Amino acid sequence: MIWVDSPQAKSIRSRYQAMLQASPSLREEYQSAMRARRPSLLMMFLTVTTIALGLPMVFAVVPSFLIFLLNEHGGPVSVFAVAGFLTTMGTLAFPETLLAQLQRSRTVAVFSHLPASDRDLARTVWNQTFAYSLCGLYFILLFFGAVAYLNELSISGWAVSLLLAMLQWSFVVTAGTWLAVSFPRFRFGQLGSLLLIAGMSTFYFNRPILLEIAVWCTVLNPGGWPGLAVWHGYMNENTLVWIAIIPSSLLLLLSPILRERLLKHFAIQEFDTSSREKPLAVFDGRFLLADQNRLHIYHVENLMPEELEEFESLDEVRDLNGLSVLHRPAWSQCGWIEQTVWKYLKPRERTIAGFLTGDTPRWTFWWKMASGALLVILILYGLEFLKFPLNQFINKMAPALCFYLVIISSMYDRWQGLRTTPCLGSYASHFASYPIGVREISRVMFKISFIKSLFYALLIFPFVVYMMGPMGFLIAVGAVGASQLIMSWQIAYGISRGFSLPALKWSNCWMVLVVLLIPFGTMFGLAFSLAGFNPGLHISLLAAGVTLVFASTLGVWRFFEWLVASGRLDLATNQLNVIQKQFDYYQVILDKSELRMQRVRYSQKKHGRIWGYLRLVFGMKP
Amino acid sequence: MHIAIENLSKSFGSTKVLDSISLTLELGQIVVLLGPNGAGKTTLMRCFNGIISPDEGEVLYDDEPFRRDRIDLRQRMFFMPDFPHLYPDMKVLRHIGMVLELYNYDTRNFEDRVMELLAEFDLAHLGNCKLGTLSRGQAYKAALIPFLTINPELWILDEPFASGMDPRGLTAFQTLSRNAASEGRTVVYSTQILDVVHNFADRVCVIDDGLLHDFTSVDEFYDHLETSERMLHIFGDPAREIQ
Repeated sequence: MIWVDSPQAKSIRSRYQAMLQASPSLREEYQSAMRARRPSLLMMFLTVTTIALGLPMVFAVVPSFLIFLLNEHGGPVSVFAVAGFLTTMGTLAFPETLLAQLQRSRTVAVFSHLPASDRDLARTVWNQTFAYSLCGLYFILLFFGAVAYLNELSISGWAVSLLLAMLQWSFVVTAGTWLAVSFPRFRFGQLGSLLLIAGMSTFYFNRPILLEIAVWCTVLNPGGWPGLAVWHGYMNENTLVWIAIIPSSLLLLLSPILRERLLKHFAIQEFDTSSREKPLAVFDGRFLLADQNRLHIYHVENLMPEELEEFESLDEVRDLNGLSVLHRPAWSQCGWIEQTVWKYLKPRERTIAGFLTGDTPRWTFWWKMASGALLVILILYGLEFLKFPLNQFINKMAPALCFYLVIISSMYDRWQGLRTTPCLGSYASHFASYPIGVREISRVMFKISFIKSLFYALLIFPFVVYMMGPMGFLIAVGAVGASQLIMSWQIAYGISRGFSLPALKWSNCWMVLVVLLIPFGTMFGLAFSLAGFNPGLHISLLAAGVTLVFASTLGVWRFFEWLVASGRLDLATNQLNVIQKQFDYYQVILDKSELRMQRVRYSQKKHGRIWGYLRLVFGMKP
Repeated sequence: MHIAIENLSKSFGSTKVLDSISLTLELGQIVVLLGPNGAGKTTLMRCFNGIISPDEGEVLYDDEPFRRDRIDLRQRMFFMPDFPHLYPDMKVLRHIGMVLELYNYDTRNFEDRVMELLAEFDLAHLGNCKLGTLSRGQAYKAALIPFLTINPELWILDEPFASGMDPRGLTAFQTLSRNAASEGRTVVYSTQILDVVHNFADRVCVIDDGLLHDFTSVDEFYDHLETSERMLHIFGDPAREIQ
């Protein structure tokens, strides 16, 4: 009964208590499932004995002995190497435990007899696995604490050790969840066992050269990268040590995100069978059609049943098409940024947002891409792969460039509703032929951009913290200001891009020029102000400049609104110009790349992740 | 909806595309805009729904001047360009639902009507297909269906008879337009096919060089076509053979 009384199990049971009391048959089924899976007394005795004897050995004696030996023979680097190795083991153990729990745990077996949702069960299982992983945190803390103690580090050294431990642990949880979500059928346990044997053998047979192999072991072992990078930076008094805050924060952020993905996609029913094969879907022509559409099949006419020509009644048409597509999707299947945006928009604004994005926003996807790219770059930078041997300036610029990469990625939007399309012999904004006001559009865009910028601020914030260390408060303020500038500018840019400047009446041109020049003038003013030497003045100027730029951006935005709403700006170009043709050309390239992505996704869905991709690489049919 | 156009003028650079055009459209009429290429028909239609704004004059709907930010007025009409604005990745039914929502209609109240129109236009088996996979005629039908579902007071269509719709679609469109006109809707469309005018119009509006040359009933139009040298200049001899 130990397992049933766990807090997670209690939580689920209390949620369905009323239902159990109301339905005797359900209660009977649940109780019989509980009885059938109750552990035997012998098993309980063995469990208790093992825990009583084994816990002190596993948690205190063996690790302390191991740490002492490692430090004696190979110094802190070897401790880090083993810690990294154990991190990789933990990273493999996490998905193995999680998947095993999902497939075979008693909690799931019993509670699947209740009308509990798969999401609830998956959450419980993840929480249990997470709780087990706290043991991993203990070991990691032990290792890094020992390093700090044996090296008689100062308080800052202890802080760095703590930071490293948290980093390694978050790596285990995040990477483990990601592996479980992405490769649910992979045998992580077997791979982990093989690696464990190989690793122990390597360490044992190479005892005399422990230090040498420890470095290589860390380099080859992703779990050890963050630890070694930060330790190396700290011991060399390199202030870039603070760079570790970013990946650790990102990892900690990613962990719940991946957990949500796990809860969303994992259906317990898939694991009811002993094998890990997914059951075959029942064949149905309609399902086939719907499924193929989802997979972006282009030759739809080939899938049309030939006999579908006439229909007996409307119900037949309704059955064929389904009506769910007619009604607005709630973006609940989209990422968390989309869901947040959905939450904060009014009904009419949701309609406009759906129109502007073609109901296919991919904000979360790009945020994840930016996070991933930033993380990889920072780890590489921390490992000194990206530190150019030129001068200090370039070394300082590299992280700044990463920073701006994130900002620029926040500007990538598919505002399909603002695209210009052929219309009446010329080009017109897509929204022009529908009853949508430009004020509505800009308000929705502003709201969405604002919410998005908050999410991107999560990426920027650790960077600013890092910059405050080596470069000072001033640069940090400048970085935040610059990011705000670019992000706010994109709102006006996004809106104005959808309008027809060639058709702008000449009498209004001077006004446009003045308003457009204000932000540029402010930017130049900022640049000149940096040439001064008064730090107080710098900060004041920067703050004033950022405020001015933001205000002028809003000014441009409102100005365009007024031009369009009052009819001073046509929504159709009079004639195609060179810029328009160029834009169309790039649009074609973008569409083609999207098409390629869809082919890749389709092929991977059909043939598996790796083989599906390889088929395309070798020019085979997707 | 009572529609009045007063002294409408529009220039692109030094070219005057519309020159002081004034006309009044009554309720329940099907009005065809006729004229050679570059006559100004398209520009006039663009002015109707605010895609472009006139240099002078104004369009009045129920005596209220039209502005682009008058969403309430714009929701009382629809405009179908020759190449409708569609998202290639969006499914047909979702597009229909989206347009209904843009007109502030609840899609749940129009399920039957949408299904009827899908069957009517031979798109019943394509409701879940992406718009980018459809032929031009099918895409035009898919774009037309939400507007026909809404059935607003003013219909504006550019070259519906050169849209690629098949005979079944064209017949359905004409039938629905006639029904709408009989209910007091106003249908304005442009065409260059004189055969269509005879069968599917109440009033004919002839435009050439930005000037309004004729705004009359179909019978009078054919009379003018026979007698007027100006008409001969605009439409040529084949027009007389057609009548």
